[in-house]
Amino acid sequence: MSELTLLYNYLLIGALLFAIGLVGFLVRRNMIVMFLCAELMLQGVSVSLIAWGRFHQDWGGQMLVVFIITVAACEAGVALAMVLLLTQKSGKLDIAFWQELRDPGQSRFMDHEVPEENIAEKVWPTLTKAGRVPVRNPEEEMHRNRV
Amino acid sequence: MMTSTLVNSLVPLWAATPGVWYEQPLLWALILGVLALVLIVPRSSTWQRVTGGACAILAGVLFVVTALQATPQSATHDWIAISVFALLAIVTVGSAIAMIGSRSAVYCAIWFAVTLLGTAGLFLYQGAAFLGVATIVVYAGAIVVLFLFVIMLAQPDGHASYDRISWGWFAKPAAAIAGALIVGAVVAGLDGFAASDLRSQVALAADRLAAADETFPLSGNQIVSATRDAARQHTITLQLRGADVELPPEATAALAQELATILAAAQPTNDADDTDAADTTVEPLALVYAPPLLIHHDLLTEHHMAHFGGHLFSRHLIAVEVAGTLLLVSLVGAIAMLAQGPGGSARGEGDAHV
Repeated sequence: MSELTLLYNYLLIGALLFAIGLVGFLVRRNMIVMFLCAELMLQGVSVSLIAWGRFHQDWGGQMLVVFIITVAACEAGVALAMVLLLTQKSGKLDIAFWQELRDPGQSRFMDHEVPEENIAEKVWPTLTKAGRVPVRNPEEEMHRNRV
Repeated sequence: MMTSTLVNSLVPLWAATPGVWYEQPLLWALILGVLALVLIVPRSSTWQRVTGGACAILAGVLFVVTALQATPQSATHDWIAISVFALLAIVTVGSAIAMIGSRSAVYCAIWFAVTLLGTAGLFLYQGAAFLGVATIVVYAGAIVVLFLFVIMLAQPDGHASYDRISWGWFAKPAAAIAGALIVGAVVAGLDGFAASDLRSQVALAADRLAAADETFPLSGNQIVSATRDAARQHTITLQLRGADVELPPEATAALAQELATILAAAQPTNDADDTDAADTTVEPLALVYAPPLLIHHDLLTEHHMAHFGGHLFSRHLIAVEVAGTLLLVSLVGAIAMLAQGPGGSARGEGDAHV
């Protein structure tokens, strides 16, 4: 591929990643998934930066990506601490719980239909059995509240 | 609906594809992409999400068609390079779509890790070896694991109600259309960029000569830059990569001849009415050579790590220090927030406990 084609293709990929991250951030309601989508947008920008750096034969693009990774790590640490705090307050990861912070006079957002979870989707991945069956101690199970 | 003038101004997106707006694969790719993203996010009916997945695949095929149209015909022979890139691109974008489509937060994080692997591959493909490895180690190894830890701490069992539904009927199309506009604007902005790219034309000439003659001492990807002299339009300055940068005179003459042919062939499609176009074919081109690319400016050097570190710790030294401080501050901030607890009341300094 010529340098120009390479630039085209990489900018297309970067824009697609950014757009997908944007859609996910605006549409999903789980706070952790929203932050994952923000990281995806950063990835899209990184891909574009690398492509421009290669095209102009300049190290600046790669340098900027180093700092993007650093800032993403900081952001993940602080944001996940905040998510944990909010979850401890509300008991949910739902961002819609925090709509009480809206301006006065705004109407409340109501879910019209939350789809029921059907049985076919309640199947979770299981690990294959390995090793021997552990010896169960009924006396210990009496006073252990969770397994 | 958009008026046809708006579409016509937006959609002659790739210079290589003239045509009516509804013949542009990119427009249909964008429309299908919007449909796919609207349908694939968590919602009630399964068949709609399956339709969304099918739309995503179709949109991907159309994007590939668009990209192939922009690729010059001479470049299609290096199909190994193109297919490696296509594989990486499919992995990256496909797992990104799967990420915003999965209901379980754990699967979201794992699909994001797959996206990161694809991105790391794309970085390696561009010669950014350190960043490719750093993306895997730092992103996929540390940040995604951090996300997984928090999911284990906070996520309830099963699919929570807010994971089975997305924001209301307005948010999904609005977000997807905004995303499509971003992609369309980026690609449309590249259009004016293509016409004046002298370097790819010189590279094409060199590739043709190298294909015709085994002993021709230059290949297309050795050309770092090609600039027209501002005062004398028929003088083109080439900067080459490699130890011996001067080509023998007969090779230079052959290259200038081939380049003049390519430029003359490209001229009528760009501006057919321009009377100056004839000058290019009459007056012979002169190729001169710029001083060689300094080794520490070359991104594709063998000593990638050494030059990368040299740049990072000389020109960007203060930024490195600031980034380190930022990491420390965010660490302290995260601990302080969690130590303070959800009650919000600050305890004394000594007895902070989580």
